[in-house]
Amino acid sequence: MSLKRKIHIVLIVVLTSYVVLSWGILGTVLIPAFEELERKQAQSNLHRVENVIENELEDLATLAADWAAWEDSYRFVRGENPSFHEHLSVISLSRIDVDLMLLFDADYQSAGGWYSSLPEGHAAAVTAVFDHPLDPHDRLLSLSMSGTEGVGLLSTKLGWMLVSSNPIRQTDRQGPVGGVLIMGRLLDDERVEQLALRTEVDFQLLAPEDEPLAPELQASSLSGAQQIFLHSPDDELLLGYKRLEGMYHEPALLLEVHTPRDSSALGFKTVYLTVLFLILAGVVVISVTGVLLQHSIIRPLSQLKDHILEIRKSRRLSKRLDMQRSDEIGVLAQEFDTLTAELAVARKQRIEQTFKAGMAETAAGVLHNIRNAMTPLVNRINRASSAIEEAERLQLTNALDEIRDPDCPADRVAKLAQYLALAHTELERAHQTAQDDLGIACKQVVQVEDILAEQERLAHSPPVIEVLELEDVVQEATNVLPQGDGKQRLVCVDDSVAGHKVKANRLNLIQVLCNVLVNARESIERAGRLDGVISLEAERGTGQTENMVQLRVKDNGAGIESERLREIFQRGHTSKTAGTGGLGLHWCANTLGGMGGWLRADSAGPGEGAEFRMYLPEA
Amino acid sequence: MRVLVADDDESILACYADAFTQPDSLESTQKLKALSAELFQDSYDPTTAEPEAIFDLVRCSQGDDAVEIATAAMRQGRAFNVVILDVRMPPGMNGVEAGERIRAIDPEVNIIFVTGYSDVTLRELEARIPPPSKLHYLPKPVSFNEVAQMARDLTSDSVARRGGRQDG
Repeated sequence: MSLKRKIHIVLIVVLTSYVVLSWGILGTVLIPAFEELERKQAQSNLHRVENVIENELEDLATLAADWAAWEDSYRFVRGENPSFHEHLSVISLSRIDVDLMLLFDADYQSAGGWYSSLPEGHAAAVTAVFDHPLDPHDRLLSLSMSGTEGVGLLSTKLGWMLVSSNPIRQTDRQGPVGGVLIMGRLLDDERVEQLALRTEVDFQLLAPEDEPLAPELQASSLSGAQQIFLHSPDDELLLGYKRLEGMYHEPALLLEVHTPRDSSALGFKTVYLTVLFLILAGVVVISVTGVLLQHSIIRPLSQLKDHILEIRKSRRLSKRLDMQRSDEIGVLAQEFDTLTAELAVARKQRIEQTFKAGMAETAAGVLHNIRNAMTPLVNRINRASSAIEEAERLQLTNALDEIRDPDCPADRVAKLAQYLALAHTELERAHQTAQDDLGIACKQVVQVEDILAEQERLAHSPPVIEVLELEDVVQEATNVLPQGDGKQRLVCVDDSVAGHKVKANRLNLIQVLCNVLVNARESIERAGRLDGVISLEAERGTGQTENMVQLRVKDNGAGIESERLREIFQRGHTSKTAGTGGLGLHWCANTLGGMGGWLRADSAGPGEGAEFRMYLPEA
Repeated sequence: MRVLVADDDESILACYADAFTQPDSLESTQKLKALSAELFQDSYDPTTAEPEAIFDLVRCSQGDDAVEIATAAMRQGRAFNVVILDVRMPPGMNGVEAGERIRAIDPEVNIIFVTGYSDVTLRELEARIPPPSKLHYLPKPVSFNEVAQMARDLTSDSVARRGGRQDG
C-alpha cells in the first residue's frame, strides 16, 4: 500500500473518529443538559400552576371570610334579615367571580343557595350541588360550625370547584357561630383558560375518570405533595403531572402541564450544527493537512522513490535528484545523491580493481606456469650442456695419438685403451643424457607454447558487451581530467551527448576515451594554450555509419601533421616523453574494433587542434 | 639426509630426483677421472675427492600429502632435514599452508619455497613460518643443483642440531 493511500486512510479514520467522538461528547453532555433544563422547566410550570390555584383558593377564602363575617349574613342565617336574600343573585355572584354560594344556619339547615348556572331569581338546592344532603356529620359543615375555616378542591355535581367553607359570625368576628357560608368557584374550562393565561402555562385538570391509565399516575403513586411525574410522549411535548389534594387532603384532581420541548429541540439543533461545523472544520483541516503532506512529504518522497527505482532499474549511478529542500527529506535526497556519487566512484574502482585483479591473476598464473615449464627446460639444457662439456674435456685425441705412436710403452697403451673404453662409455652416457634432456626440454618448450597459445586464445575472447549510456561513460572518463582553474572548464560536454545508448564494454570504452582525453589535454599543454578546451559532442550516424553513434572529441591543442595521422595508430607510437606512454592509440583503435566500432583522427595541421571520432554500435 | 619435496609439476619432480640422486655410473666415471689423472696429469685427486652426500628423497605433488608424510616421519623418528615446497599446488592445500603445518609439527626442519610465482611476499612467509633462519625462498626457474647444494648445506647444520636423532 502506498504511503499516500495510508495517509488518506489515516486522515479519514481520524476525521471519522473526531466526528463520532464529538457527537458522543455533545450527545452525552449537551443534550442531557438541555433535557434537564427542560425537566426543570416542566417542574417549574407545575409549581406555577399549583401556586396560582392556591392563590385562587386564598382569594376565595378571603372573599368568603369577608362574606361570612358580615352582620347581614349573620342576621340572615338567624332569620333576622330576610332582605339579604334580595341582594343576592347570580349577577351579584358573577361580579365577585363566584359560581356557588350556600348558607346554612346553626341547625345545618340550608338558608339559601345560588350558583351561576341557575336562572336569575331561582334559589339553589343543596341536592343540586352535592351528592348527599349536608348534615351535622358532614365535615364541610362540622368544621366551620366549630369555628374553623375550610378551603380546598371539592367534587360537586356541578364539577370540581374551589371551595371555601367559613363560619358565619358577626362583623367583629365575635360571638357564636351563626351558620356556615360555602363559597365556590368552578374549575371549568373557562377558569382553567384564565389561569393558563395568568401562568402562561398550558395545563389541564384531569378528573379521576379522565386520567390516563399509566401506573405512575395512579393516586397512590402521586400521593405526596412533592410527587411529580414527567413523561414525554413524543419529541415535541413534555407532560408534567402532579396530584392536587382535595379539601380533606384526599387525592383530587390530576394537574397535567404541557411543556413544549423547545430546549431539547434547541439542544439537538445546537449539537447538529456543532457537529456539522466540526465536520466541516475537520474536512478543511484534514484537506489542508493532506495538501501539506502531499506537498511537503508525499511528493518529495515519491520523487525520491521514483529516483531510486530509476537508478535500480537503469543502474545509472550518474543520475542525480538535486532536490533543493532544507528539510529532512531534502537532506535525505542530498545524502542519497552523495551516496550514489560515492557508489559510482566505488563501482568504477571496483570494476578497475576487478579488471586489474583479473589481469594480475592471469599474469600470476602465466608466470607460474611458464616458470614451472622453464625450470626443467633450463635444468635439462644445463645438464645436457654439462655433459657435453665433460665430454669435451676427455683426452680422446691425445689418447689416440699416443696409441698410434709406436714408441708408446705397451703398459701405457693398455691403460690408454682402457681409458678410451671408459671414455666411450662416458660419451655414450653423456650422449644419452643429452638426448634425454633435450627431449624433455623440447616437451617443456611445447608446454610453454601451449601456455602462450592459451593466452592467445583468451586474448581473442570478445569483451563483455553492455548497453551503456554514453553520457555516463563520458562523465566517468572526464573525471580523470582536471577541470581547469574554475574560470574556464577544460572539458565541455555538449548536450548532444545525452540520450545516446551504445553497445560496448564499459571499462574498455572508458579507458579508450580516457586515453583520447589525456592525449588532447597533453596536446593543449604542448601548444601552451591557456584557453585550451576539449569539447565532446555526439550524434547518430547516417548513411554508411547508420546504426552507429559518433562521439567527437575535439581539442584546440598542438594539432597533428597530415602525414602523421596514420602513424599515430601504429603500435608503439607515442607523442610522450620516454617511459610515460599510455595505452596508445594502437590499442584504442584495436579495442574499439573489437567492440564493433572504430576510431578516426583529423587535424587541420600543427597548431590547429585535432578531432578524434569514435564510432560505436548504437543500442 | 632426508629431503621431502612437494611440487605439482611431474617434470620438476623428475628434475629433483635427478639432482638429489647420484648417477649409476659414478664408479666408472671415478675410474675414468682417476685414469685420466694418471695418464694426462689432470688435477683430479681421488684421495681428496669428497663423496657427495646421498639424499633420501621423498616426492609428492600436493601440500596435503607433504604434511601427511612429514607428520608420519616425525612419528617414526625419521624427521626430514629439508622440506622443499612449491607455493601453488592446485587443487589442494597450497605450499604456504603446508609449510605452516609442517613447521608446527617440526620446528627444526628447514623449509625451502621454490616457486614460479608466489601470492605472498617473503616477509609474509617469514612472519607465518618462523624462524627466518630456517626459511628459504628460491624463484623459478632455478638450478636444481643449487637447490641440492643448499639442501646439503642446510642438512649438515640440521644433522648437527638434531644430534643422533637422524639416521642419514
